[in-house]
Amino acid sequence: MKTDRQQIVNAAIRTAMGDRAEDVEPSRRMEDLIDWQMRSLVLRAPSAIFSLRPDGATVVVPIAYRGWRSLARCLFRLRRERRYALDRLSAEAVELFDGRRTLGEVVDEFGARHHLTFFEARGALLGFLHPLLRKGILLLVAPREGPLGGGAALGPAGGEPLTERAHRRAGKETR
Amino acid sequence: MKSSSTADTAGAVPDAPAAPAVARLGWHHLLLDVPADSEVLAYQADPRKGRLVLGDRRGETLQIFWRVTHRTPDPLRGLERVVRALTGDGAREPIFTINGWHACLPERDDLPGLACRYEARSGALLYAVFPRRSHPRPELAILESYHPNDGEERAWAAFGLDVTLPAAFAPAAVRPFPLVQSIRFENPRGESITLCRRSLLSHLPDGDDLAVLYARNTEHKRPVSRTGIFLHDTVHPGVTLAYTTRGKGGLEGLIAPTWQGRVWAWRCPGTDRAYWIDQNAPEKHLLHELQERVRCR
Repeated sequence: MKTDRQQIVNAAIRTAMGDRAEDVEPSRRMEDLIDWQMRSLVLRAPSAIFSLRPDGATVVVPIAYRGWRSLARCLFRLRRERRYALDRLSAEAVELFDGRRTLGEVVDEFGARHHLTFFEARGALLGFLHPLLRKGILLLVAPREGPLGGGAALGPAGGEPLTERAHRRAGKETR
Repeated sequence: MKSSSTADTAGAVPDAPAAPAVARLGWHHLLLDVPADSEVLAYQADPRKGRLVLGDRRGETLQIFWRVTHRTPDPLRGLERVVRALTGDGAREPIFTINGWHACLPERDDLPGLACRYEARSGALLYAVFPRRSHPRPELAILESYHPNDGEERAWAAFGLDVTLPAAFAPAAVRPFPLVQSIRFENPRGESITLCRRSLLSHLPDGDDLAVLYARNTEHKRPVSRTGIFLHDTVHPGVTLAYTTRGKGGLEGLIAPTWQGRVWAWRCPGTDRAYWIDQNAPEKHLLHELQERVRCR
């Protein structure tokens, strides 16, 4: 409804400014998406083990082998976990994602700590949230109602460990 | 009571500046004071026709359209037409004048606020739209703060950057990333001025050395030499750097005249940010004390 009204306003103004009707571009509304994002809950994956260090953190994420791969793991003694080193800033962000605060609250906290505006803090956090989600280190629980649906956890399903293949895919995508 | 307030502020950075309530917004044809939590969400850099969208965390707060016209328009009639299209013929919303703007700011929350003006000097027709009508309403203060930005010196204030430059310089490239923002201005002779801001300085591996920070973040990969130190706004410590550029290569590189590059880089410890302004031009065209044209936010 809001989008329709905004489009009408833009169309009316552009017409008043002498543009042709076909030049009118639809306006994209970001309110719903930002609101939905900021109400999401981010928490650390239960299967990941965090150990904080003064200069960052180490995260150990177990690898799940299924089917014939579990047999291969026994035969070839494949590794059972992946270890990631996080820098100080990523470790600080991961520490903030305690599962009690929404993404919006974490963005506010992060912005206040580092003198960043809302959009700066949001951009910075979302920038390293994505690879951490892909690697199974964090979980994002989206609100049920929203522009993209939700109610389900994004990241490793139900907090279960990622398979070795998913780990490899996440590594390739974020390399 | 006194001791508790001291305890509350004990963890804060001591020299952190208080957040201002308003921030300057300067772009083609306009200079406004907007709420400090508003940021530019979308922009167009064409001076003849374009749009600027501002928003905060709750969504869009202001849209500004501009268009340079050859015929003198009647902004009041245009605004009446837009208002009529929005409200229908039945409802009448009052249009009043404020600081040269014809404005229609309905009391109803379901209608956007609209304002329109024509700048005869630049020939720019401006429309401002306030899509969200919420309390408190900043529209009047925004419109009252308007100044035309079409003089010999023009203010460019957006994305956390704020600089005043001669009219010949216009934005040629904008990089509005979350932790690094830069605008490169160029004049018709191809001379450039680049203003850049970098956040989270203390977390960068090269954040201690401004020369290294500049060299790693600049587009040109030329040797940079330190030429001195200075204080920006008498408080922010900074360094001056220099480099030279010539033509791109081949014969052009041999016969092209040498252009000077001068850089002023400084840090703002209170906000954990670094700024630098880089000018590349023939020596006779270099602007002096360029860093004094930059305002830190």
